[in-house]
Amino acid sequence: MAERSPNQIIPVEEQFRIMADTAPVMIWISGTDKLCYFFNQGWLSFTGRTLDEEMGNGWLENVHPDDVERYLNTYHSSFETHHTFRMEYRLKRYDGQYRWLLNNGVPRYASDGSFAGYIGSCIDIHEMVEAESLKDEFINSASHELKTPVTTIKVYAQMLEDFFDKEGNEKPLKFLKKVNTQVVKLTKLINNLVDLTKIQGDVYEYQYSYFDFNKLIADEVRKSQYEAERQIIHLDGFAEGQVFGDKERIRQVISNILDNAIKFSPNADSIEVVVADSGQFVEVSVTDHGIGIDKNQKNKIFNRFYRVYNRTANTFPGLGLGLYIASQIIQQHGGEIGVDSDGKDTSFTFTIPYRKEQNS
Amino acid sequence: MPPRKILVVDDDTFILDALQELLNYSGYDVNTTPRGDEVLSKVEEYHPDLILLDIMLSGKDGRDICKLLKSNEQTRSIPVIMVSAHPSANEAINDVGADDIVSKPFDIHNLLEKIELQLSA
Repeated sequence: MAERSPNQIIPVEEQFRIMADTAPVMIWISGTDKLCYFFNQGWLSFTGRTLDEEMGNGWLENVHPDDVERYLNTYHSSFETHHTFRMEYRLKRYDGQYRWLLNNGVPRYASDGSFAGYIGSCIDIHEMVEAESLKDEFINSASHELKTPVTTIKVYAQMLEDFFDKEGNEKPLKFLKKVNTQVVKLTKLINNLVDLTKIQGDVYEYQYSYFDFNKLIADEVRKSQYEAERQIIHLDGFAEGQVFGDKERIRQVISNILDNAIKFSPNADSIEVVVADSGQFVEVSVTDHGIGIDKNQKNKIFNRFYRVYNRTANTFPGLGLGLYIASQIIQQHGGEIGVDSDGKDTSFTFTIPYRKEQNS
Repeated sequence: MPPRKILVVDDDTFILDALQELLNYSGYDVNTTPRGDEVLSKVEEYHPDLILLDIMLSGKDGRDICKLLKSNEQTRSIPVIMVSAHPSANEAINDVGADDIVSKPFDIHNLLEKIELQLSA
């Protein structure tokens, strides 16, 4: 005869308690009144406090003062809509040290389907957060150090270009143009590194103003044409009126996307840039006839550090930052960015609202 | 007319050299200092027509120096162009009274244009 399975011996509630208390995470449960009424052993060991002390809003006493308001805002607004939320905040550990936690809150429903409150779990990600900020600091100082020699190189190279231009000496002039093109490339790489640390999170302050979008995109197409060895870049269509946004950041988006189009279509003869007006938005699409993007890579290419690979031509340098930065900027402006590829022709499309609601 | 005088402040001596060459080549009289704490005394003895001022000086913030220059009756009218290592640092100059800004590494033609624009204003 088969043995009885353990769940016939231990009541469901007791099973849950054992699971909760042995799980290597911190667990909390709240009711419809938003107050917490359960904390697992993991939580209590972390804070070094008793269940009584943590009950209701007691646990809030140990949240870092700078994080309380942000925590409650997220918690309360999720509560209204019964949405899952995910956030980082600092909680005081038993030894008095504030530790960064990653908190996941999920709405609970009773057996009749009615909303019953939230259940959440936290894990300690303190070391990760610290490593992350150390990495940001490093990238920041490294990119500043790189800027200085590049600045000097550029000054001399441009001066030489000027000399030879006046002399009408074609050969060195041709070489110097190549040097300068590479300096521009290097500069963009460094700037993307600087931006990487600034653009994620709320650190970067966008400078909004009205600007002439048509002039901006014509400028960028002209600059990119200078860098393209083979492709002719065609610009069609125009935006109606001025766009309200951070001009330099939008410039960066256009430049990053054009750079990619040039880089990934080394054997093509043309790149098409089309500007269209779609009511509230200006829509830009950049189409190249290059290596194409696999279906399974489409969603990933806007991720940080992601680099397109291709079985036949695995020779495309880059840091995997350009599209990530572009998508962050477009999102911040309230627009959308996407990609479409049939495996050969690739189109990047982004939209920017003519006027962004001033809510951020 | 004697050449216009430009004071260049940057803590990297290679950049100072490069700018000195460029500006001399373009017909300006140039004086340089790598030290932020020397700017005010330099301005007093050299009487520049324009100052190129780096934002990140070792141990000193170029923006503070700009604020000082712009709050002083004697030096207020000297145009200051700030030089920044950030790709788009417009935000950095709004509240210190600087007249313009260029980002490193700059295009020399763009820099010379900005200098001319300030000197002819």
